[in-house]
Amino acid sequence: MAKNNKNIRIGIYLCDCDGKISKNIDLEKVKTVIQSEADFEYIRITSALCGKIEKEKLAGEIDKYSLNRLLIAGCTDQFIRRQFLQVAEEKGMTRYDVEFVDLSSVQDGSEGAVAVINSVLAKIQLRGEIVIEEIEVTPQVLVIGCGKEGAKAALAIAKNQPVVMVEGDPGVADGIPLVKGAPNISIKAGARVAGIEGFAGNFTVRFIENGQLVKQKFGAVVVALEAQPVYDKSKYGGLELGEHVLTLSQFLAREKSFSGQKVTFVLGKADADSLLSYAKTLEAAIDLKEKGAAEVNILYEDMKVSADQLEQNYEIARAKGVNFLKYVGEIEFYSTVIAATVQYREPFLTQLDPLRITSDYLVLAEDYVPSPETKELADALEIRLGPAGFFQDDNVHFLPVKSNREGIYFVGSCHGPIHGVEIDREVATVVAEVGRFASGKVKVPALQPRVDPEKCAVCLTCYRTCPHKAIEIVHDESLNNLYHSAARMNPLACRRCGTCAAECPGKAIQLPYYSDQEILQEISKPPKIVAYACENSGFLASEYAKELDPELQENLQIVRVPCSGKIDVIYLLKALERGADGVMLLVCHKENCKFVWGNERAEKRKGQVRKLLKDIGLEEERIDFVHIAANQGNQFNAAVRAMAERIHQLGTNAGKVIK
Amino acid sequence: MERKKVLVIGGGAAGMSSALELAERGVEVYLVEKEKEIGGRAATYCCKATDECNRCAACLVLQEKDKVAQEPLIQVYTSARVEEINKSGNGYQVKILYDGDAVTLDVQAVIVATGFDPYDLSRRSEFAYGVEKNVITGLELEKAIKEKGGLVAAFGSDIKKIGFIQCVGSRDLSIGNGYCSRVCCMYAAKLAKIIRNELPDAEINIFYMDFQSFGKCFSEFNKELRETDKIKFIRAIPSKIYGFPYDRLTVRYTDSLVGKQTEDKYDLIVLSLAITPSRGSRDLAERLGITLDKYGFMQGGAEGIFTAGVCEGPKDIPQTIGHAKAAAGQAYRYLFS
Amino acid sequence: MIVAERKPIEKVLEMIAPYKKVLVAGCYGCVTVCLAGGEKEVGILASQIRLARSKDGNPIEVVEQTVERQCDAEYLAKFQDNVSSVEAVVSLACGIGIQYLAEKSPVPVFPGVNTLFLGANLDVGKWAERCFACGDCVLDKTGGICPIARCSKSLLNGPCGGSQYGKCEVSKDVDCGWQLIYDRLKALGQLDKLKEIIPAKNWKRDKGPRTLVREELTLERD
Ligand SMILES: Cc1cc2nc3c(=O)[nH]c(=O)nc-3n(C[C@H](O)[C@H](O)[C@H](O)COP(=O)(O)OP(=O)(O)OC[C@H]3O[C@@H](n4cnc5c(N)ncnc54)[C@H](O)[C@@H]3O)c2cc1C
Ligand code: SF4
Ligand code: SF4
Ligand code: SF4
Ligand code: SF4
Ligand code: SF4
Ligand code: SF4
Repeated sequence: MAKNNKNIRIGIYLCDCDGKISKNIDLEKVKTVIQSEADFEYIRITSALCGKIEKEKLAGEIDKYSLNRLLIAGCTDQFIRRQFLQVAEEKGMTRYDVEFVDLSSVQDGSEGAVAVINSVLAKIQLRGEIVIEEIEVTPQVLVIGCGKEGAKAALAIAKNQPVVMVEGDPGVADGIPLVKGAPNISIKAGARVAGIEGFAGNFTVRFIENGQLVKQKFGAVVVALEAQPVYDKSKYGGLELGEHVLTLSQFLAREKSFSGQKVTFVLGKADADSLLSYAKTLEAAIDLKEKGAAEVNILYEDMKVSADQLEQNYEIARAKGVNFLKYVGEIEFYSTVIAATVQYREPFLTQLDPLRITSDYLVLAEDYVPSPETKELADALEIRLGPAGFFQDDNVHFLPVKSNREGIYFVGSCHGPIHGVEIDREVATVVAEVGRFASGKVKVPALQPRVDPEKCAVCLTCYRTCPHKAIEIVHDESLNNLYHSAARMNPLACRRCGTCAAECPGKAIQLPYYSDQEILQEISKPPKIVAYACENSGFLASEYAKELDPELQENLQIVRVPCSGKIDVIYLLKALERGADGVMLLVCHKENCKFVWGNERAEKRKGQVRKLLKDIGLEEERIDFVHIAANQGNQFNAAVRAMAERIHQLGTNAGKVIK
Repeated sequence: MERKKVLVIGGGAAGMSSALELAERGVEVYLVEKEKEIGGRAATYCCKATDECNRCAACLVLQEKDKVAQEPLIQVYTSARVEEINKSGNGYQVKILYDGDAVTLDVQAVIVATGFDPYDLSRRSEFAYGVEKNVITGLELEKAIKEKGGLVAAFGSDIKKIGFIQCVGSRDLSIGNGYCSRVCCMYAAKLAKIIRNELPDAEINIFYMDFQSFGKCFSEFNKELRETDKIKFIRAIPSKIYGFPYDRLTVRYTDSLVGKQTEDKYDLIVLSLAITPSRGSRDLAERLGITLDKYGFMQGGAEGIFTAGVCEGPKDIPQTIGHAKAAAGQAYRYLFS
Repeated sequence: MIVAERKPIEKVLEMIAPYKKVLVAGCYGCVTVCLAGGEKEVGILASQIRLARSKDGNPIEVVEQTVERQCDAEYLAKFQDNVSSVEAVVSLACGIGIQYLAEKSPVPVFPGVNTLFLGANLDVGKWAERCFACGDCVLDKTGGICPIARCSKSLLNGPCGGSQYGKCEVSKDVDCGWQLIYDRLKALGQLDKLKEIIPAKNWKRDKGPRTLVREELTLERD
């Protein structure tokens, strides 16, 4: 192998693991072959590198030969591997500079060992250097929305780092009194967020404040625009609100005492998606009873209690004499100038006539809708909305508080009313998330994709297809292209999905550990089936599947990718060119991509490649696309069997170039 | 600089998440798990996707497990047990039993993430659990579907009628469990959905008290479950199940929406058992100065001791992960301030 | 930007049918930006050609190379080695690049793309025509909306009678260019500009194919 990069100085250790390895592998032979072809600084065989003296020797050799990469081939013991890492770290290397090769499971004896070692050596060269960057960040956090939820978040975060709260309409913001005078919190009242630049740790937020554009720096942003209650009278038989008919929020806002009064709450007709009205009603009912209300009734269909303290409050309320009345079907409402009446059917005693309750106050649960500023704020912050116009995709990877962008979080009902009841817990999580920026410095390995400026046409494709808005176009005279500009991925914002790399029309982007060369190297001589498998789903399923049916994977090459969005069109074509008979894409289930739309991009590419094949008369069925989850080993095996069967029917791939 | 070290007890969703969170911030973690593998309960759950993900979050746990395996700052001890924990200097000295050996670890903080055990049915004979082979728990159904790939593969093709019984051991003041386990309405509904997907003609009923909301689009999900998937909801908790003398399971209940006692035949009964504090948590709590709530869930501990996940009270997986992150954040702040 | 689109593969295969070794030549300019002829597309086309020809039992060697721009001689020079080792070239540059490369190449150069129009990139995968390169711009009179590119009939004094509800008669999916002009002028308060008749166009082609020579910039090389 030619000398690749003279800055990379590799030490290779072939460890016999106390004689276990040499049973199958002739280490001397391996050493001789590698010595003759590979590019490295130092190589040595050892009977057990994990001994104390051996480790000291290793440390000495790192200095002596100025090694900055280690390849340690031997056993798989994680304890021992950690010890080597420790030695390396003491010598200024990082975990990315040390590669382990498992010789205990190598097939084909010495030849197999040489092959894996060589491929790892090649990867070390390809990867180059991965530095740990220490990035200066802004500890200050922006909390958007000054309702009670925003106030809770601000108060909790302000214990560790400064907080600015912004509120467009301070008149109605009931959280402002809660934070007034609190240390570490300042309020921007009457301002509106107009846009955002930069990335997690170093956002610059543009505000419109008193008609002026103002910019301020923040490390993180917490969105807490509370959902708003709306009364939909069609859910209550057209009942108009009035002196005796109140919405739950009107009732809660009343200062008046209800001592001696009869109050009836109606739950279940509205607020079907959440527990918010249940939580508020239970608290209110207990409070009424404590303050001497004459009668408190709660009409409900299902008592929703699946959150902190709700079942307990339900129990307390019953003990205090609140009447819980279950109904089925329709309720009729009558309101007069002095009282309000509900008529309902008791499910346990359906043979009875409908029951009637007349009370002084009828309190009706409302629906919760997103704050009207939601859409505009989503555009300003470049974050995604989900169901019913609330923030956040309906995707488990984002729960509880994550957005599609690093450094921007949600708390409370802004991302769905059901999250309103979990507010304290969400605040605790957000405190931890934003706490990363509290010290003003963050260490992060530079594992984000790299751009070759000579190939970058600044076409914006990556910028537009990055689901996490982690890319900027930078201008710098040192960038060697026509524009002196190129795309750049931010290490704190990038989630390493690799979507950008697969989309780039100039092939300018490479993701460390998953570069095109590394991936294509894996399929240099593919077996019958190549499966590109997302490491969040298909890859894990394949490992489980292997336990279930190891033989099935003999004619299968699984290529791990960080996200199906990384599966490039060319990967599919190359597998076929190089002789595979079928290619599979194993992607996460719909609405489950950890990186928003990787699986959708992959599906489009499947379509594209199928068309490319069809156009030249090759069978498009050779490309299979499977939605799968990490726990679906059986489904994995079923899909592979189906593919094998299909290939059997189709015969060999006539297009293969390497026959 | 010597790295700070934290002990995490329990390698479920909570333990793994807090370990990963700490490791990402440069803290070294010893993760001690009593079972042979990390992953906890949720690592045994099946996927509940139909034509799209139904958002059960079980797959997240396997992803975390993979990340833990790749994280050099996390040292995992499986089949291990904490023998002794003693305050020592600024932290704790921990003796664990691992692989037959006693190992001593010095740590500056501890996160307890010991999860839950299902409600112990051994004192309740009315459901014929352990007597009738087709009376199973939710956990067993999850595991069977994961391992076999489907209901038919797991239980044969004779299953024509399936009943889920909710709130077994939850929301039950008579046994002192006055809390809702929070996840069982959700998983039962989602399991019912995938069973419907596999068996278009089976009868699937859910016995319940109050059906809980979950997820962002509950009402839509609920409507589809009832109308499209034709899952029937029966507002009753059966009082008795018996197999003998019939070939199928007989379930006796009083449908409170109809008001009369009924008996009906089923082929498979799934019990949604309550989430209860894990065995041994009382003992562990005592040693670590953790207070317990009246149900036995942990409520925060002495200095440098934090709790994460379901050991603190019922939670679904995303909530568990969120809670674990919060605990890790607290531990981190404790270590560095 | 020049917007182009990959030619159907059967056309490409037909062009190169007689050859056993070809170069697929990409351009990092406009065609990279419009996702039709950059390094990635070069790889895809090359792979597709290899698969197709192998399938037909007539294997072919395909070399891949992409340069900064095919409309500049200095960059084209980078193709020299490859061009002299192949029997034919498929260029994925726009029509300009293809012709320019053909001028410099000893072997035949074939178009791998159809050059469509001068347009804007609305979003990933979406482009729209904006200019016809007429050589005598009238945007000052039409509210910044080009009547030649945006009116289906390129009318200079529109609209025609086919304009209905803002749409052009050729298709209900096409905005009437003149409606757009009207709306824009109205918004600008310049409707009176519509009263001015735009005279018939000088297409600047009276002296044959257009060239542009700016004496103040040219180098006196000899
Ligand atoms: C039937 C069922 C189905 C469910 N389905 C879903 C679902 O679909 N979606 C969802 O979001 N949630 C679901 N849940 C809830 C989910 O199981 C929990 O949210 C999750 O398991 C909590 O993780 P944990 O780490 O807190 O606890 P666990 O998963 O219980 O993990 C605790 C770990 O600690 C270990 N441990 C315990 N004590 C010790 C000790 N002393 N020393 C060392 N190790 C110890 C245990 O072995 C275990 O590995 C379901 C629950 C049940 C019962
Ligand atoms: S997609 Fe590629 S060519 Fe386009 S801007 Fe990004 S890096 Fe540059
Ligand atoms: S790897 Fe993914 S997250 Fe990172 S910049 Fe590329 S597209 Fe964005
Ligand atoms: S969240 Fe649940 S349903 Fe969705 S893919 Fe993961 S395991 Fe399957
Ligand atoms: S989640 Fe449902 S089944 Fe579980 S305890 Fe609560 S109400 Fe009962
Ligand atoms: S050759 Fe065509 S496509 Fe390439 S840069 Fe020049 S004008 Fe643009
Ligand atoms: S009038 Fe239209 S075609 Fe002519 S130069 Fe202007 S924009 Fe281009």
